[in-house]
Amino acid sequence: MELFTKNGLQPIDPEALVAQVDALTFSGRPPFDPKSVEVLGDLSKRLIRTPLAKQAPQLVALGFWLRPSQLSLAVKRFNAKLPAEARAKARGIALHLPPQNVDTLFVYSWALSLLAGNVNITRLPSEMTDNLSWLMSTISEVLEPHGLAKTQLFCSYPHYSHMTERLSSRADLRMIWGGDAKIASVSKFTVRPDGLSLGFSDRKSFSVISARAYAAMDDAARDAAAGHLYNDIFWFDQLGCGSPRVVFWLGSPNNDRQDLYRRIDAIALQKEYSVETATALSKISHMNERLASAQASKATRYSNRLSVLEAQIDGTLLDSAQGAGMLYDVSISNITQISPVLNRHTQTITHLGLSKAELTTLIQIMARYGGYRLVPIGNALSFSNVWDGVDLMDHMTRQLITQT
Amino acid sequence: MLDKYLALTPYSLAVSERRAKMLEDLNALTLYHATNCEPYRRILDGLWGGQTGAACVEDMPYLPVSLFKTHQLLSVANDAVRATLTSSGTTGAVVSQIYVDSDTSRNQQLGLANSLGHILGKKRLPMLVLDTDATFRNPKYMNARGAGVLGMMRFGRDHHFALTPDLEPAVDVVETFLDKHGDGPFFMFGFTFLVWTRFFEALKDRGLDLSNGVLIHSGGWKKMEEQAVDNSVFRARFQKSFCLEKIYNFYGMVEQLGSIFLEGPDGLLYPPNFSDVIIRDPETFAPTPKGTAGIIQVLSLIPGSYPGHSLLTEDMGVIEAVDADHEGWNGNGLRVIGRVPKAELRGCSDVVSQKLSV
Repeated sequence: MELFTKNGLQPIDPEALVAQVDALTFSGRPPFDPKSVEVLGDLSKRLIRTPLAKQAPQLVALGFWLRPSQLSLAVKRFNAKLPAEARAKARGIALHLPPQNVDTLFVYSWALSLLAGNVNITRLPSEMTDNLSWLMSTISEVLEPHGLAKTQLFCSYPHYSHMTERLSSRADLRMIWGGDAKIASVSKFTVRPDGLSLGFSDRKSFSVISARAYAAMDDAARDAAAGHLYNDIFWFDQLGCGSPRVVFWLGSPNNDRQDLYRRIDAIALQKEYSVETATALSKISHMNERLASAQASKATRYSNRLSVLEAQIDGTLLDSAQGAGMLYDVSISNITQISPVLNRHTQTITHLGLSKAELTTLIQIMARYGGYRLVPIGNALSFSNVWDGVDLMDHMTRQLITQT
Repeated sequence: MLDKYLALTPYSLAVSERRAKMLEDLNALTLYHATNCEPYRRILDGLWGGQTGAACVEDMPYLPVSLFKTHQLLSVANDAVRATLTSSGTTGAVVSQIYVDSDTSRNQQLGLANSLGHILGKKRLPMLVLDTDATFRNPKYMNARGAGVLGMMRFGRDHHFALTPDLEPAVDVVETFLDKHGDGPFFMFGFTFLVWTRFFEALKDRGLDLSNGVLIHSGGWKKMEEQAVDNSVFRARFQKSFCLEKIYNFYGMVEQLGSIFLEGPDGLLYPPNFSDVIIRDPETFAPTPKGTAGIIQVLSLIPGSYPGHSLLTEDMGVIEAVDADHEGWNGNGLRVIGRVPKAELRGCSDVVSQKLSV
């Protein structure tokens, strides 16, 4: 068991960690405390300038997301929603259980909760990658001068240590990221009787592109679109909740299908997206399996990075999470035809070139069948204060009702 | 189809001659399977442009070997299946299912006999099995290992089993066998890891004389690497402790049973005349030249009842010699590097296993 300090990850005795957490009850600060805003602003600057930008563009994206101007928008929105007789206060002790193999997600969960004024305990991803270790020392450096390091704990512990159980019982708020199985296993342990546990379950996402609009685009616009789709698909190895698994062409793309995929593949090559041999083989197996089972009619291996399976619409289309550049390609003639793939597991629909009327219809069927976000391509993985339909800041705070 | 290959001196065909001979027969197999195995047809149509006549062996369509774990692939009627072979696998792992009819079964036997005859001679030799008979006698334990042992036992006689059901050395059996047969040529077979850990390690200091024996072993080097034992160490130690020189490792898989890549005089693994190997670049999947490592693709004319004549394995290897003609051995001399290492992807969803999560 280890705790992150200014000297890096240091071993800590479980009892000492629990005692430290116990001592933090009522140590929260008011929401949007200037100190928190300053810490995050400082962090934002350092992330935008990170020396790891090339290998880890997600750090830069995180930096932009934490810009003071962005955060003040969130504050404004929050305050506007607050009833006149209510004052917001921190929820208390928050426990963040982020996915174990995505190295930036925990920062979004933690940063919002810091902004809410909470004391935070964050379990770090299991593997201390170069990105993570740079990120953690940067966070530690920005917290230290503001005297916040004591109330913001980042730790790492093995599953058999019972720490999730012990920390949960002290938590006013628990954020579980990492899918259905993780939520089920963590939920065996209760939070405080008046605590709140939020689970962010397995979600699936896809993209809808207007064939008519794409056909009308010039080379520059097509390259820009391919760049956005590259980010959406390849960040997080196509295994993020918002990563598109399927491209639906509204209308007949004809040869534009190959045109778009060639452009995406060229960008992946230029960005040096690398595919390990086992992953490449697994993608080849996947294509063969789907063809053998008649779940796809044609497979194209553009390169080791991008493979595309042409398929028909069916309810199981989104079930396969192959990842690492395995796209399904489906043509539809009417936007309502995607209804069978929408369900409670649907998260993000990214769109390109849809008309106002098509978007309106899409929103109607999303409201009815499923889906939480409809955003332009390029924003599939952008984090939002409202996640999977839940206003995070609302849940990270409590309200003090005053009638005087 | 096999006869013209079996008539030749085993392991003698040079690469270009071999490929020129095999191309037509491989194409015939592709066409046959495409006509008789619907899932295979769909793969050819969807991924290979419907091609059944490759212009060269390198252009032959191939299936990933994993497909036999997820799909029932057969090119004969269900009631023609004589045996279903399964791959070895750790408990709980999904195994390959290979459906063999009487023709394919016969060809497997002929292929194997051709290869083994080359080193064992025409006559069946007394056989010391470096395993236990429990591996095939008890149906509860019957697995790929048991099937492998049984398959090899056809090529020997007066079988003795060097290990007890608990995999301890049966010293008295070994001594009895050597008293009876040790003065003339005899045959030994076992799986590499068991041969090393259960037979060699246990008996190395007993001064056994195996100098008249021929040892054939297979099963991969992954677990052996953990013991820092490679083929040359394995050979040297057997020679030192038991005066055993005639040792043949082989590479083969249940998906192409009957085609064994046998260790030649230079220590490399050679495909039989009716079989070949292509190494593919892990990035482009184009064939690599001699000396460049990549993913192993195996070709064989034996699979008739299932579309297994051209398979992309999950093993890495390198061709280190081409038509070297050591003692008449020709073709591609393969060194197997081992399994493609596992990859880990990122993602929002944690896999809840022993290792991660809570």
